[in-house]
Amino acid sequence: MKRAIFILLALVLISAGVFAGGQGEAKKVKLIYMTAGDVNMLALGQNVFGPEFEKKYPNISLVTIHTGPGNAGSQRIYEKILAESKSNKEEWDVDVAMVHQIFMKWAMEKDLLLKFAKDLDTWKYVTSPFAKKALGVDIEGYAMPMFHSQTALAYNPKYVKNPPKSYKELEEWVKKNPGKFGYNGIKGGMSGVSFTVGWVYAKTGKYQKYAVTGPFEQSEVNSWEGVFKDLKEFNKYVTFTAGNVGTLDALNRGEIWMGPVWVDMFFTFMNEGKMDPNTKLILPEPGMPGQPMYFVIPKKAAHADAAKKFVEFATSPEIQAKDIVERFNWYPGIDGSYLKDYIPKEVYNKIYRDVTPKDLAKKGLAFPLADYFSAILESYEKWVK
Amino acid sequence: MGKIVMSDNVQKRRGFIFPPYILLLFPAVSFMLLVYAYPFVSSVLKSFINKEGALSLDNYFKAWDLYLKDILFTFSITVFNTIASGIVAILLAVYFRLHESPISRFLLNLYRLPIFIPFVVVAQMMNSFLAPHGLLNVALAQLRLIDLNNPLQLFNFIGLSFGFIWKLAPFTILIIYGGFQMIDNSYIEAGRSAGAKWFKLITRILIPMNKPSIMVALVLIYSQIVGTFTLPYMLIGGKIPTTITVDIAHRVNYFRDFGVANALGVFSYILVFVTAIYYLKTKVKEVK
Amino acid sequence: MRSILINRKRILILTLEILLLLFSLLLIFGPMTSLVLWSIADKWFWPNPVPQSIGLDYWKQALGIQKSLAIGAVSIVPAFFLSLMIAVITVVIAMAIAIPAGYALAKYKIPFGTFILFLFLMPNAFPQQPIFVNLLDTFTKIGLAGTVPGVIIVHILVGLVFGVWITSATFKSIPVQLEEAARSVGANSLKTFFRISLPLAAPGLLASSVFVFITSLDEFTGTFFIGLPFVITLPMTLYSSSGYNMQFASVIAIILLIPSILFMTLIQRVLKAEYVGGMG
Repeated sequence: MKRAIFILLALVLISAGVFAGGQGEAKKVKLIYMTAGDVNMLALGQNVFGPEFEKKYPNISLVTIHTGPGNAGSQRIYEKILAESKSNKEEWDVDVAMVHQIFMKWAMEKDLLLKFAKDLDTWKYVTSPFAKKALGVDIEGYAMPMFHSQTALAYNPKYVKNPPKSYKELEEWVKKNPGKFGYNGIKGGMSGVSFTVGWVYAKTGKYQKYAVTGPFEQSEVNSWEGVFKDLKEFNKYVTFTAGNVGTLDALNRGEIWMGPVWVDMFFTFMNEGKMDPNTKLILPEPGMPGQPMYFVIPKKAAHADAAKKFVEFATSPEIQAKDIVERFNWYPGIDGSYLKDYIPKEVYNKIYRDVTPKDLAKKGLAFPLADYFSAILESYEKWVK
Repeated sequence: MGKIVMSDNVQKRRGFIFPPYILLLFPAVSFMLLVYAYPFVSSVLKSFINKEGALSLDNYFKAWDLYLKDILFTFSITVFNTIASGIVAILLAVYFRLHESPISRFLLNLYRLPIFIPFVVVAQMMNSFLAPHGLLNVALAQLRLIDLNNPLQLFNFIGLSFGFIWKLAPFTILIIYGGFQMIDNSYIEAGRSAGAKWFKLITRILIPMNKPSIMVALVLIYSQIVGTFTLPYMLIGGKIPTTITVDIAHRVNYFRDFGVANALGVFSYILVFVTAIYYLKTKVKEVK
Repeated sequence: MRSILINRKRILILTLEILLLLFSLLLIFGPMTSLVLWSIADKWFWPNPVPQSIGLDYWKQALGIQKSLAIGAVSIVPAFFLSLMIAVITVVIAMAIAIPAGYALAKYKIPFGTFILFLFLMPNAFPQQPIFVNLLDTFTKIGLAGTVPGVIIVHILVGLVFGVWITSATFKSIPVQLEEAARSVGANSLKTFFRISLPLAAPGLLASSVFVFITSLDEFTGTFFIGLPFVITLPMTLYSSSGYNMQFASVIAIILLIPSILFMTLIQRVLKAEYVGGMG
């Protein structure tokens, strides 16, 4: 037993030593940057933003922390900041965060954020309506969009010669090709949610009311029974996949021929050799929702000034062009017209090959107002079970 | 609470003698109470508070209404896999205990591997292995056993069970085999020389003498299956029915609805508690 | 006659064993093959049954040898050592409080003993996310959030069930007669415990400490809520990439196997040397 304890202690000391060695770097401002999203957000922070930002500001070092994909990732950031706001701490640990739209609703309700965006030099490049409202909540000044992502239908032209161009045509198509369209329902990530929301827009034709003007009325929700009964019928001809990536995996393995995906994840899959390069995208009529990811700064961030410098850096036209668009294949957070000088033509063509800027403007929709959004998700659970 | 009652009892029975087990139990029990009591009680309380902040059963009605199928599904998955893992594990542990050979020693180590693989990895592995065009189906198709246009569909009860048993049977083997190791050879020799066949040796000597380990192993895997999120999420995901854990994540991630999430938590706690009562009963019998 | 019969029986058993061996190899390594293939896949999509091209890019990236921007992967070396340190400390503390508790629950008739046992099971039986959100509130107030000690406390919380339950079952299986015999020749209870009960229970205690170790090494939900933003362990990097990046996640998964297997082998060696007499 003594020997066992001795060896255990030795192990503790060794690993503690190694750990301490890794920590002992020069004293700088440590900017804590938490990011939700795919693992490439972590790579972006650690391998790209970190070194480049430090080159410009040698006394600040960026510590990137990844909190996981989807709403769950944003949720964890929210829990962290909320817990800090409940304690009496004067300085909060998190300096800057990268979050989804739903986070904005939660955080604005609890007043957790700093109004910083209009202080930035780069605010003038922002033209997107998404910078003003998120799910119908007023956020102007509290959030800076870093990139915009869009859902669309991916399909393999080898099997699908004439892809359906609208939700209506898709309904016919799945009946002729049962099991070849796949999506992830509403519990497996936002691409399935987005498909469902698009379905409601298509069937009701009330995008303006649900996503832009409002107001929320229960009578609208009550009128959806038919909409979801149709979806239930549609689901009979569909393969269910496990999560956003499940759909991409199923495309990768050739199990399905078509399915809704996030455009940026789709391109990442292609870059990582997991998607047939011939696979294409299409935005069906009347369109599908997309959403940006935002930079936010918590109200009592310990290093708010450094955080602002960092956001300014990441939303400058140069970085947006070089890293966001060229390297990661996202649509930029600031107005694309400021980037033209910085982006090579072939990159531009690849990203906008299938879904043109015109398509995006017309068919790149927003997610509905928060109340309609919850109502859509709950109605799905109620009627499609 | 429990502790105060306990020492009361003790005092009545033994006067003022301080029983030694209090000292032995104190660090572990006080740790649990200090760290766990508050978050647990507050979770349970939240399940009784509705959206308007009033005390009510709304969350339970909603959970019942939306997720009854999922609760039943979770229960059947859990019971089936606990029993299946238990049987597989007992058979293999018996084999390891009674038959010494190079192959059995090798297998004993082989079956430890899955223990070291976290659930999130198992989930991912099973996802790419069991998929309609996954490794398994592709391999079977190469052997001309199936047609890839009509592959085995395993993203369901069967595939999920395969994943759970793959990960948890080895865990069970380690505990049960550990218990078997402690049974002295003399008992087994005695049984053998009395002419007991394998089957009798197992049911009359090995299992009864090792009952505590087996029960513990079963309850532990039972509660693990109820609480696992990643495996059902990656194999079944948003399909209907799915497991309680997937529903909880859904309520929390999309609605921040801790009320219904905690109500579902209470349901899953009840599932475990049912086994607890069963366990309690068998223990009482044992004492008699 | 008799010897031929025995021989036949032997051959039958050997054949069955070999069949079991082959079946087990397929069963265990089949699913793991996809893990290994993905960890080296550069390009792999339908309709190719195996990767079209392979490489070690993700391995290099994970081990910090290469810092490429083309693929979503980062160095996991610091997280690896931090995880290891936390796991070892967790095992030491958890077992130090679990062994006495397990012994007490096995050997004494304790009022409400079963309820005490179930107290330890609760963190595993109740879904963890809501619990840890509540715990985060408390830990933030007392300054434990985002610290290594905070994370270790959480790991002990979820690991203690394996410590207490398995040690208790193990001690219960030790025949009372043996301990009584020791006492009757004049050993006091402390001596009896260290000379008789502990050596006899060694295999069970080994199993239980291995589970505590693995639980700590794999713990994710609690580490996430309590550890953020300063404590990043290996499962957190794994979770970051799980699902989204098969290649990188597979690399981390394989690396995660190493410390557990080492720990198990090490403990087994130590126990064998120490207790070989006691166990015989």
